[in-house]
Amino acid sequence: MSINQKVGFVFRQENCVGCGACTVACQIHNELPENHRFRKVDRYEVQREDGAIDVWLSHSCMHCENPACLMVCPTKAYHVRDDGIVVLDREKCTGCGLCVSACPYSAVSIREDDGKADKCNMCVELLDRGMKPACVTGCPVQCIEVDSIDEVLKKPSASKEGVGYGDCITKPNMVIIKERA
Amino acid sequence: MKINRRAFLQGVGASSIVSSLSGLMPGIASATEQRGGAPDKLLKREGEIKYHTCQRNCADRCLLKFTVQNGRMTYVEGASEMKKMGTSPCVKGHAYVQYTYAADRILHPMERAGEKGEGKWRRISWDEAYAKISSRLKTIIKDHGADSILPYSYSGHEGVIGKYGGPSRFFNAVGARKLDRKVCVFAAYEGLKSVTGTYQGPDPYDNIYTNCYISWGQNETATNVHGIKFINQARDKGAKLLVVNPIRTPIASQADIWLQPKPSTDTHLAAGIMKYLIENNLADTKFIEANTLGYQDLLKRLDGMSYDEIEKVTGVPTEKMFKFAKAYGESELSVLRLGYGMQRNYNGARMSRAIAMMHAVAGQYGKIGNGFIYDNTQADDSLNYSKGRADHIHPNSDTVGHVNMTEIAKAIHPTNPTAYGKPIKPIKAVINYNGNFVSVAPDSNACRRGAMRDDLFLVVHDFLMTDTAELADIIVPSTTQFEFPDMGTDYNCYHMQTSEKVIEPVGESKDNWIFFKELAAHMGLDHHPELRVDYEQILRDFLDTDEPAFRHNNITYEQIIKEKFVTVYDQRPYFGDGKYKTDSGKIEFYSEMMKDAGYHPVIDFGLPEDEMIPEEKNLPFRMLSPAIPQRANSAFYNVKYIRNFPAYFAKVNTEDAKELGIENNDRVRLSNHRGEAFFIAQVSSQVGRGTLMAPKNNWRRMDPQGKASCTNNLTTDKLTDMGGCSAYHSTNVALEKA
Ligand code: SF4
Ligand code: SF4
Ligand code: SF4
Repeated sequence: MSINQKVGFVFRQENCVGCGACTVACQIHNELPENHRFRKVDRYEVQREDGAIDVWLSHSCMHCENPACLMVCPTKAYHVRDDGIVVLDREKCTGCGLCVSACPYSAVSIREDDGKADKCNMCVELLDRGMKPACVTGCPVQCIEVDSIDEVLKKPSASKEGVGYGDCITKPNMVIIKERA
Repeated sequence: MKINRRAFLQGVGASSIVSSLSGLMPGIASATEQRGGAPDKLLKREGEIKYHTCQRNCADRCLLKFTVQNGRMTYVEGASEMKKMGTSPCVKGHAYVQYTYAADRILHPMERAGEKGEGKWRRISWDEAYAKISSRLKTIIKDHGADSILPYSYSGHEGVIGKYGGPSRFFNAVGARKLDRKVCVFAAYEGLKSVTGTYQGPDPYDNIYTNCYISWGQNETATNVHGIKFINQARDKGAKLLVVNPIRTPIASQADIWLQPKPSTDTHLAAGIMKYLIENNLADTKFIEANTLGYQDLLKRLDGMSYDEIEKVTGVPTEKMFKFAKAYGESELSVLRLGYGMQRNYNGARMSRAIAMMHAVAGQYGKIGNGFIYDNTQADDSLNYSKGRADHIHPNSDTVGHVNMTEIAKAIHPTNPTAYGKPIKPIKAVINYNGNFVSVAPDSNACRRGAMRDDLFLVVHDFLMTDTAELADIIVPSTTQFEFPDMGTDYNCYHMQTSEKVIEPVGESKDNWIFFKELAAHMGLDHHPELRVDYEQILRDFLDTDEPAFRHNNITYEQIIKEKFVTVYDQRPYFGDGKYKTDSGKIEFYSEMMKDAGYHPVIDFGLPEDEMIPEEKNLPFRMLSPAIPQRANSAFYNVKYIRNFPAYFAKVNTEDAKELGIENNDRVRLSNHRGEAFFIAQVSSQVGRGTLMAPKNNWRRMDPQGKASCTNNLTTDKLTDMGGCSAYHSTNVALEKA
């Protein structure tokens, strides 16, 4: 595949058990303040015919094709790499918070320790060395991956809709794959 | 080793860019593309690697790889060369660096400088600590006998040396009171032994071959998260997932069918499923004929049971139970995983028995991809414990009068100490290591009252100020497990694993062997050669075994050190030879063992409520206090990145909450005759009506409500029907908005 293929997170929501290991693995790799999370895990109680069930959504930055964060940022701190990863250069951030309000996925927030925005950069320093992001290797259930979005979307079970997640004008690059009916 | 940052960055240049992401080659770094990357974050992963087994009491027993730089632990990941592990620890294991270097670690010995529990401490040296402890213990031995000294420990450290090899040598030399460490699995051991003669089962690696995985009373997310990927592999190939649990666990939500019985009514449910299998020609009569005893007695016993009665007791709609039984009965291969929590009930042995019988009616023993998994202690049971603990130093141990750890509150009662229902000689000293009984043991208020006794000398060896340590007379700082070499046995996948020393002891801390060895010397007990050996000798003593499961592969000390983990041989398929471990060699539907214990020899339908005192029985809620994924017993409560996951909540059913005017996030008060505890309500249908769920073993001193309350303020310390196990879940409470 070409180096220009867009990568994104691939999430098997049907397998996620909401344990939070991905959140912590990310915080540790990225040396985040204790109360700052790039990756969050939400629980949804979904009503079905025979009663309610719980479904978890592990989510971070969606690395959108039309990133709202990038569009509103006055200091051009955001940048889209050739592989589609939306990176934030914190050195350019002034902490104005426009990206925080613009992001439809609540993926950016201002850090308490230095007043600047911060978000998931898909652990590009790992990816560039052929390794996987901390959340991917940090999920004991193995339900997060990064892969070529175009390739994954060809699978009949893949979509940009899941419990708590849907497509929008920023064109998010997270795919939910559902292999069991 | 000092890492030069520039050299490091050059070292990980373009040549190492080899993608393993299903053919994915991310953009090779150009100057602009590097933006947002933070290569510094990789520095913590560069260094010497040490293999170390997680020693929390968790079936996964993860083999982890720690990076060490300049003597400091910097990073942890899963030892992915081991199939059960993959790349990841669990949510807790990820934070082991923060656990080890926690800001609140106790780094030097301390002696109480005020009243008990007042929180005033004076720093002392190790020499002073040893002198004070040994002189007080010697006086106690002289005045009251050595058996008035009680060790308390359980699952703080499950390594071979840390748990038994080190401390037990000391207590054997002293001649201390024996602690029966039976808080956990033992009721189910008895129940399962009454059916197949064992509580061990097939290798969970073979779960990928099953057509049906049944999770019964188990929350894999909290206590076996690494096993979930094997279940998912089976499911990807079409296997069904069936779950029985009074709480909607994550995999209950993901199940094809989930049954939610009222707590502790599993005997009735298993009986109902057996009845359905039999009546619908789904019982495996060929298997039953060849492998079992007493089938006619079982048929008779089930005849007397009506589906209406079963539905009334369990609360599970009959139609739903039929659906479950049909899916189960029609599955060619079913593997059943029984949880470690459900047996913590007054009827724990009897429930476990009924479930194992049900699996025999379905003919689900003896093939790859079926069977019954409870406690796979094959590796552990092969070790030579009596040599490892040096039991021969203290041959008359049965005469000193045992104390069951679940009953510690009764044993240290200020006026009427008892054990197993009988008065005992008072305990004058408790030496607490690998444990935190004030948080962990049931009836916490009573534990605390006992620990506060003026005439009780309490020594705590720990690395944190726990609920127990704050009541101590002397605190001696322990290392974490990472600061000494050890080994560990898995109790799920048959492994024996290394635990290399990762770092030197932090501060003035001393590990479980050095502390007890040096204390023995100060007490003049080091004339025993067993108290002068090194770590390697203790490990070799444990490995000096002729057990076939171990010897089959010629497992040696050297091999474990070199290969980091070995697999202890066991049958495959388990029970493939049709030889069961009961006296009769058959699966016993009729059990003399149950009869001798005073229960119905086939199925005993007794419920916990039958054994509660009226004032508890009449309370409207059953409180279950199982594990949650982000804590291991009382561990991880202080750990950065973990401590903010809630552990002081009570799950309340939506309808019950409505009736009581309780809303999500309200403060609630749970109470019974043992005390009260305050939690934040989580209102949902995850628990059924009349059931509450509060996490186990939370600390009083960290209660975010500031009320110094915890779940174990409420729990019962009465023992189970058989096996002398704890029965935490047989606890009833009242609920109100606080
Ligand atoms: S670690 Fe995996 S299973 Fe756990 S919450 Fe994250 S995505 Fe879900
Ligand atoms: S999810 Fe939000 S922060 Fe991430 S790229 Fe999209 S708009 Fe930007
Ligand atoms: S607590 Fe269990 S799952 Fe977590 S790291 Fe330890 S052994 Fe593994």
